[in-house]
Amino acid sequence: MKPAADLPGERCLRVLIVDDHAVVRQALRVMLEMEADMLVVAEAPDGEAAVALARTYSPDVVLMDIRMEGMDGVSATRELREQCPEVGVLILTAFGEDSNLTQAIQAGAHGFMLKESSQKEVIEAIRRVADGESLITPSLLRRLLDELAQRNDGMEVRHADLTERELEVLKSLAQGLSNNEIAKDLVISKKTVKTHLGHIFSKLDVESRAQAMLYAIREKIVEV
Amino acid sequence: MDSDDNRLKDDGSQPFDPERLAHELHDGVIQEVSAIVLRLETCQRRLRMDPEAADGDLEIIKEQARAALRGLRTLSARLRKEGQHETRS
Repeated sequence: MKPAADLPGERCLRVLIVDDHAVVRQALRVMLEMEADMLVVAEAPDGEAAVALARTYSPDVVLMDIRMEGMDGVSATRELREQCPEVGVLILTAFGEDSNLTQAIQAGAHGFMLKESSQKEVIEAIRRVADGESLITPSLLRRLLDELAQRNDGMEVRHADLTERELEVLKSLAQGLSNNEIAKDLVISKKTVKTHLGHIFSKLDVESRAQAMLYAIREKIVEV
Repeated sequence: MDSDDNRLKDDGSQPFDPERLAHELHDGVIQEVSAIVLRLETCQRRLRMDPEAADGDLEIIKEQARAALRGLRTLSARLRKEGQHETRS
């Protein structure tokens, strides 16, 4: 646990790093500190410390490993979403690692990136999660589909009530488009996109873009 | 507890167990190499802005690569020892 020594400019994007390996936390910290507008407020070696530190430091985004000793990333995400609902959770996992993406989405995570992704991609993902968006890196979508194919945990069909427009927005979201991109594609304002998303979440009974995305993939509303 | 404590051990006291080996690899050298890759990419970005700092980064990365190499050599020696032991028995 290493709390940040200083708290400069208010406009800094505050990040909490959660990983059970100190060498990896340190490398992530060095990477994020290269960004002028990002501040690593703390590091946590497990889920329990992550929740405690998030309550203390109110980060914008928690960069979360899944597989950890003690409280793992899925349970920590669930706790965080309950105790600090305003915090964005970006899962950073290693390819081929035995981690349950479906559970992490159901726990309320906002984004999924691979540790093998380029730094540019990870940094962009942190910014998008801080902006209230969600994303899943394409190579993880394949794994997600595999997991879904093996599971049959009875998600109900709930999209019959969606309007045609809402269905279009959901499709775009599930393809990984940002609110800006969806607005451009459908020639509507960003505010309208947000309104549609609110209705979609409520009709599908989901709490995050990632959960909506999971629903769309599972129900084959989009092909990935 | 930090899993960094759970590094490759060369005590030779336990029989070969693929599951344990995978676990040790995951907590040891795989994390070290992941960190090296991350730090190299950061160093590459820093090279243009601050060559002196990048040079300092490279020293750290070099040391981390050596540590990873030591871990792999330890593992290799242990596996060889296990192999000899199994051939004899």
